[in-house]
Amino acid sequence: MNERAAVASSVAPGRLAKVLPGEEGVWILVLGDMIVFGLFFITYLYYRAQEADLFDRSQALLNRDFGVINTLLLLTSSWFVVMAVEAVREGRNRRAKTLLRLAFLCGAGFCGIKALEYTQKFREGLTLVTNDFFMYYFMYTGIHVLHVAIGLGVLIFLMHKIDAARPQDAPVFESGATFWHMVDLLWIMLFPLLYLVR
Amino acid sequence: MEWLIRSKATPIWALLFAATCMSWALGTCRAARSGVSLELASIAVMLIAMIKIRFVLIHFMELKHAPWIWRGLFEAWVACVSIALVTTYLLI
Amino acid sequence: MNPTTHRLCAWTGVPFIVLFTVAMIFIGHMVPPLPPSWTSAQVLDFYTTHGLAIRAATAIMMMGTAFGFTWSASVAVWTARAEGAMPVLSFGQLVCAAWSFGGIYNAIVDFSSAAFRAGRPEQIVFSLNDHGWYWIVMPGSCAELQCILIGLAVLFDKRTNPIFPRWVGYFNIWAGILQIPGAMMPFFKTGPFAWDGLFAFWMPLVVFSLWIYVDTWAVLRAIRGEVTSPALAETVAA
Repeated sequence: MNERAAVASSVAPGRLAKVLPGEEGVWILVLGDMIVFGLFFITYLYYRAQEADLFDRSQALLNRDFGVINTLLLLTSSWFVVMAVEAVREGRNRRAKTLLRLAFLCGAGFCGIKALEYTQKFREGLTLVTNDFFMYYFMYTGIHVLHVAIGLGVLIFLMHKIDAARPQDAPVFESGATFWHMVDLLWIMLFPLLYLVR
Repeated sequence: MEWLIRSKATPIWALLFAATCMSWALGTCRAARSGVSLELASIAVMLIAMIKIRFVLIHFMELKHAPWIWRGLFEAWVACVSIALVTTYLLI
Repeated sequence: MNPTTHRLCAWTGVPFIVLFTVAMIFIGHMVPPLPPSWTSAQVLDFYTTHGLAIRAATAIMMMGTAFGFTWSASVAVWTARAEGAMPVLSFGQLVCAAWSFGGIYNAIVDFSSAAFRAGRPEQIVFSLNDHGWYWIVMPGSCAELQCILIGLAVLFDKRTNPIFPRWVGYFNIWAGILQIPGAMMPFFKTGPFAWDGLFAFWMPLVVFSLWIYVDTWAVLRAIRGEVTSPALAETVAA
């Protein structure tokens, strides 16, 4: 399992043999979560079709700008995380730490905007029992933001480990990165589905 | 800071950023659009999202260099969910 | 360590699942669950029609539930081994198990009492039914924490030959997270998050069953490892 890091410290990542980054176990968690969210997506479209009009009218009440900003925030945080892992492999711990901090800030920003969005909705009297659309909106984005929060915890863990990390420890960071990228990619689909598809 | 530009992740990020903006434009543009275009825009937006997800899987998560079984599983997820979403949207 | 008693306890996961499946699905007509959108009249009708079957099913479920405790013990004992001295995660697991599986006792009692006397007032039967389903679906937080504690114990095992393979730790964490939507069922009477819904009932049910199979496998594997090479099991990574 450490073979990848061992090779990485001497060879550029692009030329590596077939190795799964990080721990296999994380990928099982990621695949499992993606299957569940895949189900979430399909279920949403199915039930949306029964009340398409209601869903479209309710969707119009969402703040698309916040949604786009959130998408860009997570995308950018993933970019930082990829480069952080690259930095760990090259033994550049200070750079990795900065990048992890930036990724964390983006993730925290996402949560902040979510909080703003939810507060806005509550003030307008829209809650998860208002109608079916808002049930999906709050439940799905809520479960997702829970994943973001867990991801932020993972990033904190990585920032804690970075100071003493050696290139051979890259798999730990790769595992954490894998989870964070999953959080990003789930939102990549959640945003258009809830905010854009009509 | 040149490492920022030299990183292989950067062009991918730029592409994803652009794709996000494109989706946003597609999904929100309302001017003089007929009902058919709306459906097409929705499908396009979902498929663009799937392509973005695939980019994250293959490049950010490095499935490009992973054993075929793992890459296969995730490619299968992308394919199955894409088909299921478009089918559900169109048929139901 | 007596491998026979350990194996016995690990295998009790099976009678738990079998008895519940037979009882709830085939005898009691309780799966798919009674929809929360049903009126009190419909619920009364169900308990009147299937009164005897429900009482039989609940009796079987009552006998089967305790196996959940022995099964949980079989897992906790091995995570305790992985933790070493003062196994806090394993103790936590056992308390969570008491309520994850024990909560089902409350549901069984509610369903059974609802079917106990013919001619019970409609609203009382309605209430007992609600109460029962609440106990089955809502306490996801206990099952969730039990799973997550197992996962953490597995992941924190720093031995060169870990008691459990690491993917089992991640699997348990995933299984735990998926029990969470059950807590949201009080908000919904229809849809996938209601107590008969896809995400509050069916998904946790599938994941829960899978979890029992995977963890049973992992425990049996740990027992086999201990029996064949006890010295290895004691090794702790530097």
